[in-house]
Formats: sequence, C-alpha cells, structure tokens
Amino acid sequence: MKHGKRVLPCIRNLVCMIAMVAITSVGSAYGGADLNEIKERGILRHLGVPYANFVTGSGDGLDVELVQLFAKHLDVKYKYIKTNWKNVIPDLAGKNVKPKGEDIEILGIVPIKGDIIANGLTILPWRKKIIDYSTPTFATQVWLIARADSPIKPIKPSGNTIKDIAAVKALLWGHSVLGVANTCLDPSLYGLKGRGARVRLFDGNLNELAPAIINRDAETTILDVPDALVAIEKWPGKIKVIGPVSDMQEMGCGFRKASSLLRDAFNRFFKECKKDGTYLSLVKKYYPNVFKYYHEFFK
Amino acid sequence: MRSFLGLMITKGNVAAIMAGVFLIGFIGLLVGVNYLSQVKLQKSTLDHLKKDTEKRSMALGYFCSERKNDIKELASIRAISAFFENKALGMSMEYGLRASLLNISEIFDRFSSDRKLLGDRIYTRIVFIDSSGKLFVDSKLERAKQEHEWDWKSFLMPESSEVASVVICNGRFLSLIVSVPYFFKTEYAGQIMAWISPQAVYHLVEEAKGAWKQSVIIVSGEGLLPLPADMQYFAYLPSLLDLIGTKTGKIDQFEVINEYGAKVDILAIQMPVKDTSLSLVTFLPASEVFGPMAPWHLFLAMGALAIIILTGMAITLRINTHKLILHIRLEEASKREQEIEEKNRQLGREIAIRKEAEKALRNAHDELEIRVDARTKELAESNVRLKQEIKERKQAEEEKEKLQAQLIQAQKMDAIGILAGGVAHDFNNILQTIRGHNDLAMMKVDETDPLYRDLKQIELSAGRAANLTRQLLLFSRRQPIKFTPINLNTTVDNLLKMLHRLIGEDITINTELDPELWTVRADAGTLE
Repeated sequence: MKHGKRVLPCIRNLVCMIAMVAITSVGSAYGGADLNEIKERGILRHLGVPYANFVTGSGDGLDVELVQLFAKHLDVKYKYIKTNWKNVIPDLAGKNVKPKGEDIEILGIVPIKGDIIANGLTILPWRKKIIDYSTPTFATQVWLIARADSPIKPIKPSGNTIKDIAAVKALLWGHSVLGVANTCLDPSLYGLKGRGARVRLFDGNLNELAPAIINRDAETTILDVPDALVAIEKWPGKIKVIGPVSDMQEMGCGFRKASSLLRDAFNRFFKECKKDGTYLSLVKKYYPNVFKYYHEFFK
Repeated sequence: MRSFLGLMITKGNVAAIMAGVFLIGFIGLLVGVNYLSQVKLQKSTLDHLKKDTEKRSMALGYFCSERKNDIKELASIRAISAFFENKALGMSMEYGLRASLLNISEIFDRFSSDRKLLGDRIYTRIVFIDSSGKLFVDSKLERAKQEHEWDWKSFLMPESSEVASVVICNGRFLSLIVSVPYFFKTEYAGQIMAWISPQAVYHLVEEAKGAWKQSVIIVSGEGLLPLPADMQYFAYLPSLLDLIGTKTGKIDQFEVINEYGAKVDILAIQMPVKDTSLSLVTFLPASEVFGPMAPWHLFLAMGALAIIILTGMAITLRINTHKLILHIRLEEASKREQEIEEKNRQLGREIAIRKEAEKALRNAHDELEIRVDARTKELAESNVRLKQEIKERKQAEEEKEKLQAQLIQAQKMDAIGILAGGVAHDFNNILQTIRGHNDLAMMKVDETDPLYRDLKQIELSAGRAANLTRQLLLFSRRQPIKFTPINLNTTVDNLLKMLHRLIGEDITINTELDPELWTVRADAGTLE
C-alpha cells in the first residue's frame, strides 16, 4: 500500500510533465512573441501586479521604470498590462498552471497578454518550469511578520540562516499565518502548515498583508524583505519581524520560454544598466534601505 | 658803520620775520585742530570696531541657537523613535532593526546636505550614540573621514534634558559640537551630536567685512576654532592667543612679531558669544585705526617745523650780513685784482722768455743726446771689430804654436833619420864585410858539409839584415827603393823559416797562402 502511494505521485508528475511539454509547444505556436515580433509590433507589453515599490500602481515603481528603459532601448513603445498574482504567469505563458510543490500542473491554455513580467517576481523552482528568468535583479528573503502585541517574540539571530528558519517555524505552532496563494508568499512554499501554523490565504493585494495583520485578520504574515522594510517604516511599533522563513532568494524578470531572444536582449541591457549605474540609482530611489541592506548584491 | 646797520635792518628782513612767526602760528593752529579731530576719529573708530564685534558675536550667538533648534529637530524625527519602538519589540539588527538605523542614517545624510550657509555645509558629521556609548549612526563628510576617534562615552549626558552647545578643546584647536540627549519614553536612550563646520562659522562672522583689514577668530579659553583653508593664518596668532586677556568688551593693544620679524602693534577686542563658552576676537593692526602716525607725532612735527623756519630765518639774516661785508671787500679786491693783473702780465712775459730759453736748452740737450747716441753706436761697432781681431790673433797664435811643435817634431824625426841613416850606413858596411867573408867561406866549404848550411843561413840572415839596413836607409832617404818581381808566397816562406828559429818551438805560425797568387813588383826588403 505504501508502495502504491509512492508510485501514484510519480505517475501523476510524469503525466503533468508530458502534458506541459505538449502544451508548451502548442502555446508557443499559439501566441508567443519573441524579439523580432515585438520590434515589428512596436510595443513591449509589461505584465505587472502592484506590489511594494516594484510596481506602485501609480504609474511608477522600480520595475516599471526598468521596463520603460528597456522598451526605449529596443526602440518600441511601452505598454503596462495590469494583472494579478493569480494570472500573471498564465498571462505571460499562455497556460493556466497550478503549482504542486516544485512542479506544476497545466490546467489549460489562455490568451497571452504580455511579453515580460517585472514586479519583484521571486525566482521559484515551480515558476522556472513554465517561464524563464532574467539574470537576478533583486535580493530578498521571506520574513515572518507579527502584530506588535503578538506573544511571538523575535528570534535571536544565530548567524546560521537554517537554524534561524527552524527557530521561527518552531514558534508558529497554533498561530495564524496569512499568505497569498500562487505567489512567493504562499505559505505552502515554506511548509508552515506542517509546523502547526493555521494558514490563511489572503485574497487581496500583497501590499495589504501588513495592514491586514494590524487589522487582526491574522496574527502573523509572511513578507519578502523589500515589502517588510517598507512596512516597518510605514507602521513602526505596530508590527515586528520575527525572523526568516526562507533562505536568501533572488528576484528577476519573467519571460516566455519561447522568448529567448527577448530575454537575452534584456540580460544585455540589464548588464549595461548595472555597469553605467542606471539600475543602482533606480534601486536607491525606490528601495534606499534595501540598497544598503543588501549592499553586496548591488555592488 | 651806520650805513652798515641800516643795510642790515631792511624792510625785507622785518617782513620775513613777521611772515615766519605768522606761519608758525598758523601751522600750530592747524596741527591742534587736526590733533583733536584725529583723537575724536580714533575714538569713534574704536567704538565702531567694538560695535562691529558685538554684532558679529550676536550673529554667532544666533547661529548657535539655530543649531540647537536643528539638533532638536533631528531628535524629534520619527525614524529614531521608530528604531527604539522596533528595538523595544525585540527585533534584531539582522532581521529588520538594521533597516531602521539605515533609515536614520539616510535622514542624517539628507539633513547634513540640506543645511547650508553661504554655500558651505553647516554640519560635517552627525552621530547617534546609544546610552552605552556605542556608535549607532555616523553620517560624515568625506573630508571629515580622517577625524580621530572620540571617546563616545564622554559625550553622554543622561542628566541633561536641555540642548547643549558643547565646545571640546583638542589641544589648541576646538571642535564645535551641538549635542542633544535623546529620551525614549522618558528613559535616556542615547545622544545625538552634530559637528559644526568651522568654515561655515568663519564665513558667517567674516561676511560683513568692514573697511579695515581686521581678522576674526573664535576662541574658548586657550583653544582656537581652526581657521578654514581660505583664511589667512597669521604667524603671530599663537602669541596673540596667549596675550588675549579675560576681560571682554575692552580693546587691548599688543605688540607682536609678524612673519617678517618686525614688531607690529595689534588692537584686539574679545566679545563673548551668548549662551556658549565661545568668544569672538577681532584684531587688526593698530595702524589701520591710528594711521601710520600718532597725533602726538604731529606736535613733534610742528616743533620741528618751527625750528626749521626759525633756523632758516637766522640763516637768511646771516647770509644778508655776509653779503654786505662781501660787497665792501669786493671793491678792495677789484683794485688788488688790477694790480695783480699787471703783475700777472709781467710775469707772463717772463714766463714766455723763460719758456723760449727752456725750449732752446731742450733742443741743445736733444742734439747732444743724438750725438752721444751716434758716438756710442760707433764705439760699439769698433768694439765688435776689436773683439773679432783679438779672436783671430788668438787663433793665429795657436796655429803658430802648433806649427812650431810640428816643426820641432819634424826636426827630431829628421835627426833620428840622420842618426838611423848613419847607423844603417855603418852597419851595412859591416854587413858587407860579413857577407863577403861568408861568401868566401861558402866557396871553401862543400855544399854537403853541415857547415855549409850554417853558412847559407848566415848568408840569408845577412841578406835580411842588409834589407833592414836598406829600409833604414830608405827611411832616412839614403837608400833608393828597388822594385823587383817578387813571389809573395816565397817571401813569406823564407821569413817563416827565420821566425821559427827566433820564436822557438812553443809558438806555431799558421799560414794560408794562395798558390795561384800572381808575382808583384815590390821592394823585397820593405815587404819583409
């Protein structure tokens, strides 16, 4: 019986992968656009979800300015396509997917709406199965944030991230954690439920997680560092950082698997931006604290 | 004599004396008025200097109070309280709390770059230290990076709730720091301090520059706020700092040595800066206020001028008197001059005659000189000839002596020849007798007889002796040379036989004779 339980997920994964490969090739033919097509079209479509200072929702943000510069570099017009965390990957890949641990299940084909995702998109294993990433553009980590009056006390750093993560998870037994499904802040990615935490999924925007716990929707939430630092600055004394629930992570821009030329062009453009200081000045503008916090990454 | 006095007291002299006295009086009046106005002007200038220093001191006091407001403003920023709130929640530096510090640092940087005075940054460094003296935030300009490390604990002021302007003396140079204690929920949490740029402070107090070349320094006790690079640093500043007294608001005058080693009088006034331990000192060369000459110098100059004028008048009178005397003497001198002229003319004539005679004498002398030269030349030539003759005669004498010696030698040789000839002649006669008798004896003896060989040998020896005598006779010119055909090899062989007997057995004579040798015509006796 145990053997049967082990075999079944393997068969399911295999079927998913075969289906993914088949649909990926169909999808590419269906609506994918690489660099030449974008240049012919004259428009670069930026898929964005308002999130922290990457995409503020007010027409600016670190990633908005970065993609605008990229469009200018390609000599095409920039177009912002607003989406949400649920649809951001399908809107790029043309497939509706469901993450299953580090794998995915393809649920169907959807129309392609954009050419590039740029809104502080964390590089996750399951996402790499359906899209390609640019070279890392931002450093991050996922922290557990609690309301100030929570009995959970911040951990004392041990100097070892793995130990710190274990210490944080050990504190979660019986406490509620607010997360957002299909994002980097999905509690399932970090195995919080298995540690006895009462996981709650949030329907709203990622920017609204911190206010949500202040409003007592849950006792704790998980936020990535850029967002957490903004929240600490916005609501000092009302929330507290307990510690990390993930190792160091990186963010990058997402591209369709079939848009390798576009991704290469972006990588070359990004390298130049870093070299001439354009990108660093953007980071200093939108995330001055993160720039100093992860100084080594941005060197 | 009366005419002489009359001449002396002329109208011109009286007028000159009157004018001189009036001039002295007028100059004295001018100098007096000038002296009073100078004294008044100096007093007013010093008052102005004092007010100017007061004004600068007030400006600096206001500046310091503004800085206190600045530091108060910094202490009230939300980021600092947010840091302590987050800290109170137990957050760690690694996870979140460090961001709050970075935020404070960002605000300090912005604050430091925003606060400017006349284009200069007011603050060079802003720090936040916690209640244990640990440096949390340090925002400083690049130029302040090399600043030495401080003992941060010494800055903690948990007892004070007031903003304090602190002056720290580091050797003789001051650091101007404005500091405020920070309280979080009524508990002392740390200290915020900001270093005020000396450049900004000096530019503030230097802004209103007057017409003088005054300089301003800011001191506290014996310490000096360092002068910025664009301000002149006087070499005498350290000694001036030692001289400045504790009295404030009073203008002091010092004598200092400048960079060229010259003594310079300096005026200095010290004014306290309100609500601080600072003092503002204005100093400038005394010559800027008093001018190069002190008022009493004018009096001195006036006295000197009066003496000069009086001396001038006395000299004028004396010159006039001398002139009169000279006029009288001039007439007498004119007469004497005529007489002298007559004598001069006569003297001139005599001089001309004497010159003529002198000229003739000089000519005669020249002629004599020429003659002497010619004669001397002749004598020299004859002397040379005489020397040549003496030399020739000496050579002839030597020749003569030589010839006489040769003659004596010749005579001696001639005598010897005669003697030898005589001897040879007599000897030859004897030989002829011997040869004759030998020939006779040989005829009587048979050739085989042993005696015959001896006789033959006698014949040969006698023949040679006859040859020898013939040579002697030849030498003495008594025997004529007889040339006969001779075989030289035979002559040598014959001679060898005789020689062998004469020289004995011990000596061997080797001969190398050419058998092909031709016959020669010669005198055999001479050859042997």
